Amino acid sequence: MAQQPVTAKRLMAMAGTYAVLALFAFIAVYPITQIVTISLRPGDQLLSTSLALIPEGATLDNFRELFTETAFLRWLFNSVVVSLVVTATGVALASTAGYALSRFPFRGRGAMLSGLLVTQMFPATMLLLPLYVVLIALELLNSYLGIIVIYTATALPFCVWQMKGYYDTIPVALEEAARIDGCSPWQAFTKVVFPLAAPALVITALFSFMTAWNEYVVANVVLQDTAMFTLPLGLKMFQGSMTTQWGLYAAGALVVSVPVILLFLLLSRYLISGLTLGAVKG
Amino acid sequence: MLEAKPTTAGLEARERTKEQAGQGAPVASPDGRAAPRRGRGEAWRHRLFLFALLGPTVAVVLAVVAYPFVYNVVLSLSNMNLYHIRDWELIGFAQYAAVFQEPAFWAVFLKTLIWTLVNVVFHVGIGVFLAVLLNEKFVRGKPAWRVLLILPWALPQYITALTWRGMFNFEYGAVNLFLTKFLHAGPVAWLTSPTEAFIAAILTNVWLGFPFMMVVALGGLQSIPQELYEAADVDGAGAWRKFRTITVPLLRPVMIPAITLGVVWTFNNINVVWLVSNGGEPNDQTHILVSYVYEAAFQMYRFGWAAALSMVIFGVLFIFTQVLLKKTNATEAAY
Amino acid sequence: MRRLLLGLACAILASLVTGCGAEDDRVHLTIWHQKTGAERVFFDEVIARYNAQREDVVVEPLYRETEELRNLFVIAAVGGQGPDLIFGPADNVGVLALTETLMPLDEVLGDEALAQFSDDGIVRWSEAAGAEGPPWLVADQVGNHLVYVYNRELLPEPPETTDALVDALQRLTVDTNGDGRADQYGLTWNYREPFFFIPFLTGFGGWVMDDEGNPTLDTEATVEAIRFVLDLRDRYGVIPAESDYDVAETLFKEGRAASIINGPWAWSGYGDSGIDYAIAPLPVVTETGLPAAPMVAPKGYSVNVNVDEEKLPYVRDLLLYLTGPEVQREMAETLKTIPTIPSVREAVAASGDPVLEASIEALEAGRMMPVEPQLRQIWDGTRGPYQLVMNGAVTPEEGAALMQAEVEKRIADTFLESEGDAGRSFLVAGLLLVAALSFWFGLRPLWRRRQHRALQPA
Repeated sequence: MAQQPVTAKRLMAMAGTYAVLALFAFIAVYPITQIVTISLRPGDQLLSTSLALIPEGATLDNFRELFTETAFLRWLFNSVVVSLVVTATGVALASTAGYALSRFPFRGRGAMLSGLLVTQMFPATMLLLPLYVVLIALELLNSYLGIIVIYTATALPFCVWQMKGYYDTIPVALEEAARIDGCSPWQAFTKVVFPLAAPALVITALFSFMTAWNEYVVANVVLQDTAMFTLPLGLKMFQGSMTTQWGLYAAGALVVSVPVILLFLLLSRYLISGLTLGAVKG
Repeated sequence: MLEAKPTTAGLEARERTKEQAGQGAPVASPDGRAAPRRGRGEAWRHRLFLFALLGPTVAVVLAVVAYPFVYNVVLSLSNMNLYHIRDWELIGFAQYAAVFQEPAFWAVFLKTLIWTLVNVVFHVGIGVFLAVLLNEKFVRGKPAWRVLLILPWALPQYITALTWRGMFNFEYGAVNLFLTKFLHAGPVAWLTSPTEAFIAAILTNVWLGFPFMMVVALGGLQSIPQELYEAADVDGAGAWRKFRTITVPLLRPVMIPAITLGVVWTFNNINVVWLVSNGGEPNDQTHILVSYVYEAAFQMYRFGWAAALSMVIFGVLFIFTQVLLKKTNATEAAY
Repeated sequence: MRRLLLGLACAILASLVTGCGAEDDRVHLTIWHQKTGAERVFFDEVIARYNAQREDVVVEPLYRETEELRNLFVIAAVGGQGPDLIFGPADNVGVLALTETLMPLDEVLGDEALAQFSDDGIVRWSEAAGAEGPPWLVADQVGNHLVYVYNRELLPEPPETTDALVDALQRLTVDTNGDGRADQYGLTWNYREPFFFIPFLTGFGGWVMDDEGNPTLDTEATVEAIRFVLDLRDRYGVIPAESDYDVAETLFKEGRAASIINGPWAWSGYGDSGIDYAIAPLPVVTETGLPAAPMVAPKGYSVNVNVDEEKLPYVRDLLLYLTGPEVQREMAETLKTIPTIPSVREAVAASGDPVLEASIEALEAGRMMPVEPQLRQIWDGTRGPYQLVMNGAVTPEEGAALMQAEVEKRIADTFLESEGDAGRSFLVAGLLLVAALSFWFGLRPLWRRRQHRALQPA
């Protein structure tokens, strides 16, 4: 690695790079600090002319109220369960389907890949009405099974594309070698390719998790019992049409965001190496 | 997560194999091509294997998408509205005609195109720009920068969109406070004038969307061999030239699918427009097609009309992606 | 690892399917409501008390936003499902009656039980008979009316005419730090929402629709009323440059606005924020001599058409409890609502509570909200033009004309039959066919070629 000489021009470039990164990091983080500020503000005030991060008379009352006086923990538990199930099914289905689409030239393969993309093109709001009718007919209204299936289907197209893209980068020679060593196709997949695709699996898991964790519209239609609510629905409860409990809402929003932020934090390096929608030629 | 350990090993293994194998060949098949030469039992087993791999996914996606889609096609040919919510009947293509005759349709369509184009251009522009900066060797604390810059993606959209709406408030919003206190500019009536409200929605969505493109670009950049840049350095190429001749062409195959998806998602992203503009304010001037669908269906109960409009949206996107994918392949074949 | 995950998933899934349906032979009644803040706290207490009384019944309240409640209820009820009871404002009734999603209350309660409520406590409507139609909603309160709320530390006596109002507001709008922006405003309210414009409209002699439900917005009264509101902001500078509901609330609660226009749902919140508030009817418009009359509406319960015979007695019992004298009296005391049972209303009026007395006075000046489903289009259609006027994008005259045109268009879009016009139909079908064919023969071969190429080993 040839170390370049540190010239004035280069120093300028470095300073500029840091300045731009800092600017964008600020822009990325600032709205989140707003939520922090609102959550710490006493009373239900959304607005203030102050730009201070910690408001006057800051208090943790909203957080205390959130955990002790609302069903927040219950909703948290519901959301965790639903999201984990969706993650597990999402990973299982996307990893297998992606493998088939990456490796085998069966008839209709191209159509299937396009078809997955096509599912993203229809305005989701119009699917609500027919889905509702179906869920009533199947008696899946107000049950987790209904939303889990819907969430999995929502997350799958992206995940399959993404898994397929990653498998494409894994040399076929590896499976061929495994087959020669006497592995069945299934074993070649699970023992050789699957572990190698770990970074992509992490992305698939993360994406599935987020789909379920953040979804509001479908849950709002399907779940009708406060005790069964997921977090986004619960949060919405703090928001009335005329009077909003902004403090509670902001506190809740922060608590909802923390797990996802932590996941991103932990997984950010797999995110970079694992997110391959297209064939990387490298 | 549970997968942490094998993942690390897998990553290293992958790097190694890639080096050994050189150019990984996508979509070549030991099994499929050989299948006809093997026995019939083998072929059946192969088919079964394929079915096991694909079946569940196809079933789940079809279950959730196929019936509603067909239902919607039927609705779009019907007169279902407030008066005929139970006893609706098929009336042919009248709803489609009504969609195209709607005076606001073309304006909203144009707005949707602007919305999509501006958003995706900025998503990709900012995303790639930041990725290139982050990929510089001298930058310290990369993981920390990365996490900070990814944050907008991590937060639920319905939360951040509402936060941004608050930030665009005329008197109390952070945006105007910044403008007046630090830039000594006049405050902007973000949410009450049509153009500004639309810009506010776009700004919000740009903020939400650039991290995804950045991450995709970062992944792509890592697969570009460093030696290419070093060779260019030897030739005395400037940063811009290196970007244009090495980064752009090698990043393109990674970015095109992401851009395709980005276009589809942005085109159909109702959350941001709806929440930032509070349902199209002012005067229904901040609608894109999907929010128009929502309004027609759930505020005016024009289900037939809304279904026809959503079929139109579907058609537009379908044709667009087919063209884009065709183009993509053309470019891929070029090198 | 994967097997472990799958196992875990199966276990959770199994617990989900089986775990939730605990053994329970009590009757479950669900109510969707849109009560917020102090109203919701009170409601939850009342429900809890009922649940404690009745061993054989569990009532499950579920909050939904007003619009969402109506939309989801229509979809659910048309699908044969939905909650047993819903609680909402009277302007839902038109849409719900049209979609045949409600059960007439004379079938649920009987005429005798209905007779105990005042006329303004029962909402009747049908397309043919208008307000003479069957009863759909029984109210536990009537009001929802806007009043003048003032901070007594800043303004001891409310103004009685608009001239006096302008004088008082000019005195109360002050710029303490001299930066050219007012730090305390005389008045604020949500002037982005047409509901809050109604008192001005009536004060200048206008109204939203005629008896047939046709909008009557393009009138001199509308123009005058808009001009008055604009003057408050632009000529006298006594209201904020931009104010939606949240801004108005914040300003008043922080003591930075001396008065606010708002309804009963918000009043108790001002006390909680430490504001020494009082309420008064909105002032009389000096030019016309008419009171600025707010729209008055009952809010109450309706019954889902899908409630079956078996459940009906339970629903009836719950409904009578929720709208009964005991609950209504308590509600008036805690939430300052106006009861719909005449005897209870009289008792409350004589109780000497200044807020309730002023509220009843304001109510009497108010005008009943129309039940016609067209009201929905009036709200949605006026909102945009009204905001355009307030932004200065159009003149008051243009604004009034735009309101009328927009509302008429929406009413036509929503209520008129979309007849299948055969000729046009064929034309469009033909065009679509051409598009499909050109796609099939134009693009598909390319697509195929791509597929073909993709399958070649690289």
